[in-house]
Formats: sequence, C-alpha cells, structure tokens
Amino acid sequence: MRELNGWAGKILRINLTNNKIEKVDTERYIPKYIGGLGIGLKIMWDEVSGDVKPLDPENKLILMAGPLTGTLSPSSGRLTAVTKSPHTWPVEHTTRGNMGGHIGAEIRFAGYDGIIVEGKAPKPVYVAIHDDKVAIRDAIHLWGLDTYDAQRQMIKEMRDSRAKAMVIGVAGEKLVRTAVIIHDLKSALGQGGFGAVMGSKNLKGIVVRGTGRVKMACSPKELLDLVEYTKSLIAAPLHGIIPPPVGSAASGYRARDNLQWVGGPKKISIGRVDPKDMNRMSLRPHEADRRFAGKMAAYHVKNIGCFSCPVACKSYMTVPAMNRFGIPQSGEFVCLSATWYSPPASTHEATFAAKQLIDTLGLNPWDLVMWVFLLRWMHETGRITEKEAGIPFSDEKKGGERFITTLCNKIARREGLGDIMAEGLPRGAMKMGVLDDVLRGEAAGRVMLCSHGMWDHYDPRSYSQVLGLTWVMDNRDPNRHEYPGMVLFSGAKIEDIKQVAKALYGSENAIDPIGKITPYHPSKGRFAISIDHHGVIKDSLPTCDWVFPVVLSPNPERKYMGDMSIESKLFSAVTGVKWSEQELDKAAERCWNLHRAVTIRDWKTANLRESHDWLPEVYYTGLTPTTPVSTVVSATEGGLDRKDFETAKTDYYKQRGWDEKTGAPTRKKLEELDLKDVADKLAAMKLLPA
Amino acid sequence: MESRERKEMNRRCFLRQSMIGIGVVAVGGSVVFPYNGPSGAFGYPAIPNATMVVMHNSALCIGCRRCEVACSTMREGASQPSRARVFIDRRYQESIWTDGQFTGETCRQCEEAPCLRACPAEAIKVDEKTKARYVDLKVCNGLGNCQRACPFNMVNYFEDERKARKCDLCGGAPECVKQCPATALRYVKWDPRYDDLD
Repeated sequence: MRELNGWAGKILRINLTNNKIEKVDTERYIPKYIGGLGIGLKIMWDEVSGDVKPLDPENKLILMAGPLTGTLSPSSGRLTAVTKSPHTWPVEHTTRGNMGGHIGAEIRFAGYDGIIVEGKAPKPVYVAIHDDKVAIRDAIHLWGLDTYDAQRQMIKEMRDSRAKAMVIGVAGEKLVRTAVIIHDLKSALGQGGFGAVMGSKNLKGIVVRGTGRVKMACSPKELLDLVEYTKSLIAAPLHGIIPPPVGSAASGYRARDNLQWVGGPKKISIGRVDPKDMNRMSLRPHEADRRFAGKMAAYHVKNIGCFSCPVACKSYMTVPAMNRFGIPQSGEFVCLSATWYSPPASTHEATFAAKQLIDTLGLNPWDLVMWVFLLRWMHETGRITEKEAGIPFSDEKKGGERFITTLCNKIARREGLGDIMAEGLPRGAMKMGVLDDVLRGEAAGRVMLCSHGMWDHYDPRSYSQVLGLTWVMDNRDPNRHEYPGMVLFSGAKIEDIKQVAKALYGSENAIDPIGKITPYHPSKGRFAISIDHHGVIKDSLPTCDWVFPVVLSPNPERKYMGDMSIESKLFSAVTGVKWSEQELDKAAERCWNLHRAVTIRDWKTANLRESHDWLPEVYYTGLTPTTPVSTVVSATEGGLDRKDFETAKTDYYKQRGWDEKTGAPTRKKLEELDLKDVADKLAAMKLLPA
Repeated sequence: MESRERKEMNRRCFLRQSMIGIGVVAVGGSVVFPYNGPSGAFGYPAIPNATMVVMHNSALCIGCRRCEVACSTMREGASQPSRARVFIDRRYQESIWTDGQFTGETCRQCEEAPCLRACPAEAIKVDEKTKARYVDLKVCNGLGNCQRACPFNMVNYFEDERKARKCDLCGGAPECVKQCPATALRYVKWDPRYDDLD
C-alpha cells in the first residue's frame, strides 16, 4: 500500500469470533466519503443489513479517525464511531458518536484510519495494537474493573506508558443500553450506547500505541500559515467570542480580570486574555467558572486540551473529599457530564461524585439526568416508595451523595429497579407505565424527551425551527452548537449575530433571539442544511463541534464574521485533494444522503416524514424548559406551531431535493450525488419514492 | 518488546564502538578526543554555555501535545510525536490520573553537555547564534552514545535512519514555543540552575 497524504491508507478489521485480523484498503472509500463518519456510514451500508439488532454479533462497531486527525490542524485529535445503536428509540437505528482525547491520533500514528470490530468473542478480551502488531488478549482479569483502573492496567500490560486506551465500565459489560466508552478521564463515545455494543462483543477495551507518522501534501510552512490563520479566527469553546461582563453569563470565553486557577498546588492568575494572543488562547475558557455561578471553581486545577487542541475546554478538577466515597479524586469537568446531578440541598461534593461515578462506571449522564427528575416525581406523587425502589430519596435533603451513588450503581449493575432504568428513559418509562406523562411533559412538569429517545438538548422552542429540523433529521441528539453558540454562548449582541446570519444564510430571519421565535423562513432551512453538512464535515475530518465551523470570530474588525471555508482549506492542504468549500460541501451532502438511506433501511419505510421526523407533543406547548445545563432557556409562548413546523419540514425536503411527501431522497438526487448503487439497492427493497 | 530491542541495539553499538576505539588506538598510539574530559581540564576546550533554553511549566501545561506535533511537523515534515525533541506524552500517564501537573521534558542545553562529550565523531556541535548543542546529521554516524549519555533521555535516536536528533532551539525561534497555547513552554535565558531542576 502506498503512503497517502492525510489518510493512513488502511483500516483495521478485527473479527472477534474467529480472531481474524485484516487490513482494509482505505483508498476504495476516499476521497468520495471524506473519512470518519462518511466512511463509517458507507461500511454500515455495505456490510450490516437493516435486520441486524444492535447487540447481535453481526453488528459492527466502527471507530474512524479522519484525514486531519493527528495533524497540526487545531482541535482535530478526534475519533468518530458508527454503529447500530441500542440507545435510540423507538427504532434501534444506525447512529454516530464523536470523542476527543488522544486515542484517535494514536490510532493514526499506529498506521490506521480506523478500526472495525465485528463478531463476538467467546470470553472477555481486549485488543492491543502496537503499530502493525495486533493482538487479541484475555481480559478476564479486567472484567468488572472501573474504567480508570482498566485503562491503567491495559497500558501497563503494553509495557509502554505512551499507549492510550479506551474501555467500557461495568455498565457496558452489563449491556446498559446507554453505556458509553471512556478514554482517559472523561473523553467518551456517549450518546448511542456504544459501550453496550462493545460489551455485547465481550470486548473490554482497545489499547493503542503508534510510533508512525501522518503525512501531509503541502509543505510544513504552508500548513503552519493556514493553522495560524485558523487560530486567529477561532473563538473560545462554544463559539464564545466576548468575555463577561460584556458577554452573556453563559459565554464560553471566561478570561477576565481577577480570574484565577485555584485548585492546584499553586494559585495561577489568568486575568484578561487578548483574543489576538495565540499563546494564551487555551486560558480563555474556565468551565467550572461557567457552571453553578462559579461555585465549583475552587477545585479547578487547570484547563485540559485534547490532542492538538489549543482551545482546552475541559476543566481538570481535584476534589479531595472524593476519597470518602472511594471515588478517584481527580477528573475532568465539562458541560452536562459534570453537572448532571445537582440535588435540592446542593453540596458540590455530590455533584462531583456523580460526575466521577458515571465516568468510572461508564454511564451516560444524558439519560441519567432525566431519570433523576422522573424518579423524584414518581416518588413525590406516590408512584414508587423508597423501600420498593431501594433508593434513599430522603438522603437528597442531606446532600444526596448516598442517593446518587446508590442510583448509579444500581443502573450500572442492573440491580432491582436499575434493571428497568438501564433500558434507557423511553423504554424504562414505558415499562413503568409513565411514558405518556413524559412525552406530554406532565411528568415532573418538565421537558424530558426529544426525538430518538434522547434528552431535550437545546429546545426547538428556544432555538427555533432550525434546531427542530436538525433534531428530527438526525439519528440522535444532533449536538451541533452553531445556533446556540451564536445566540447564547458567543456573548455577542443579537444585531451583530443577525448580520452574520444574513451573510451566511441569506436573511436576518435565519436566526431568532432565544425563546422569541418567528414564523418559518426558507433561510432557516438553509441554516439547518448548513448545520447538517458542516456536522458531517466535523465528524469526518474530524474536528471539534465546540470550535468548528468557524461561524464567528472574536475579531470586531471582521464584524465577528468567521470563515466557513476553513475546513476545506485544511482538508486540501493536508490531503492534497484540492477541494473548494462547495466541493467539500457536496461530499458532505453525499454522506448525509447516505445517512438518510441507512435510516430508511433501518426503519424499513421510506415514509420517514410521519415516523422518524417527529417531535414529541410537548414541543407544541408552552411548557417552560427547565434544564440544569443552560442558564438562559425559555420557550416561545405556545410552543412551536404545528402547521408552521410542517411547512418547515416540507421546505427542508424541497431544498434537499428529497420527496416532499415522505422525506426520502429521490433517485434523481442520489444519482446526482454519485450514489446510484444506493438508489438501486433502495429500489430493490422498495424503499425508493416513485 | 521495545526495551529488549534497545538493549540489543546498545550491545551492538557498544561492540562497534569498542572496535573503533581499538582501531584508533592501534593506528595512532594515543589519540585525544577533543571533548573527552571535563571542560578546561588538560587543555580540552570548554563548551560555551547556551544563551537561551526552552522551559516547561507543569502548572500551566494543558497536555494538548501541540508542541510535539509542531516539532515533528516542522522539523521532520510529518506529524509524528515519537520523533519530536520535546516530550509531554512520555510522562503523561503518571500525572493525568492524579494531579494533572504534566511533566514536560525539554532539552536543558547542559553546561557540561554529556551528549556532546560522548560523541566520538564530534557530530554534536554548538550553534553559533544560540550556543545550542545540535546534531550535525552529515557527521552523525549513528552510534547512539549521545542518547545513552544524556541523563534526561532527551536525545531522540531514530533506529531506522541510524541518526540522532536533539533540540537545537530551531535556530532561535522554537516552533514548540510558538505553538504552545498556554504559555507552558517559554523561550527564556539559559541559567546553570536549570540543570538541576527535576
């Protein structure tokens, strides 16, 4: 195999049933499917049929890096996963996940673009990869270990401290539907139940050490200039461009006068950070300062960055009180995974203990955050008692540590009520007979479920039809931050944001202030399509969602305009495939159409409009979203207008060239995108609209 | 696996080196290696002190390893942290699980420069501008003595090329320092005390 620029050139295929290890040529997929998500979807389409259940040995766990992983390109050290998901509801369809940390880059340095895990081992094993040497090793001694201990043990057994590992915790072993795969302290393949898929294959983890290189087509100087230009435009995490007090309280840009890191051995003064100062850009965020009005900031040791990331959004924290519960005292703290549990009588120890527990057990906070609200409500309304559930609800008034440790352990080990909760919220609520209350927003008086059985992450009534469209068209919580980034986390004025939206999507109407949404306008459809396409690019190159695409920049002289063509420039420079912004966008559109085709196959119906592209009832009401994550969230009065949202869907299909009645890609569109084989296969299954 | 290979390599190099030594003694009777002694003693030339050095700050380091990537990209033409001259990854595991105070390793440009003195081929030279100790690849014959002599293991020996690399401060503008997003790496005036820092 010749050495390629950007791509490594081969994908590792590991069959755990017959211990066969193969190397697949990447060149058959590129540049058509870019890398990462694109290739992952193509492999799913080619190799896994629609009838396969997520936990069957026939399902495949596809872990893909992309052409930029491991290079100097900012925040590119990421890994994308694709599999049939046990988490999604009501249909277990193909979904994706994306993870930071160092392991994606390590896989590239070992000489692979990705790893396909298939089959099922007869007994617990783990996979050890040292460059071109690949071994499937016994993992009996690792089974049952928490994610931190298991990783350390695997790295020790590699006899190379520079190895990186990704493992499942007890939750993954017990096939908890929402279990995650953990790497390092908290980098996780989260939403989608990847941990359960790994557990179903009897695979505890993968440990990788790579000493090779990632080549690039351009000269180092060229790449460096491009990287410097990119860095000058990228904002703090979540597109935060203006620090408080001028910016909003939720701004991702935290550095200001008197800001300190105080949790380490020595206090470090950060102070104001000039957006132009490239050598201090990782000092801008301070996640612990952004959450709980900064009450946890006393434990913040430092910011932590993933591989090759100058943005460093993670907050490294040490809470010595954790030793009391026998929980590791150091961990990384970001977003919901850190703050999902905050009891009424809040002690921050309980919050941090909850965070450490889900990371060591391999649980998914996005599901648990809803369970806590639902269980509290069920307890208050007398649906379950403390004794029946075996969960000490009364402990919440005393701080909640015992409550949360019991709950997490019960779910991860599938004990008692935990066995039902391990099925994920929609399935579990159905078993408990409260699903209707959840979907109507009557349970606990709050919004819990959005589409695909996942938690309401960015409410379409706060963030307009744009987020509504991305929610229903995706196969999971879309987790794309352009829109909330612009209106909430950037800290910029809405007038400035509207000007940016006008330049990018053709109209100021594309974006609305939070909770004050206006009727649908075609520019909103354009915005949603741009989010989908840049999402595919993000997961395929891959780059980080909290940074890319560069919609905004902290530069007032540019009127805060970012540069949407940066991904294509980096892609061209590294791979030597000279693609313009439009050409990369076309490739992303191809992948997104393939994504839709895979979904149609999994749902066994071409009419996704009525079934898949669906929002729960609660979004058509004015029920105020109350979430522990975002500080500024409000619902538009009366919620979404049903007719208006149907108009939005129709226009979205129209702009995509899909069938307006069913929301399925037409043969014309698929052939235009060089996906004739996909159209033929769909037609053979009678899943192509006439 | 790796350590066994290295041991073997060491044995081979040692044999080769002793052969050269025996050869030299046989031919010339007594030959003086110019740097083979403490500085200034017996008329051996003293090594001028470096003027600048790259220092790492554990408290500020965010562990992103952009320095390793920048070093290998700019100096080797491809991203490859195992071929960098600055190391965060080598001691990443020992701090990430406990306190997050990463131990970054940079060349101290030692006063006594054991690497330089260990090289019988005189391939390690002193840069005129920064007085950094650098490997002259045209002269380097791949003995690997410098790697074994360095008390901080900062010489990166490339087994496939049989050549050694070490930090040469990029001629006065270190790429790792330019790419550090946290000011954890700083390009500062050299000071003899840095030799003793752990």
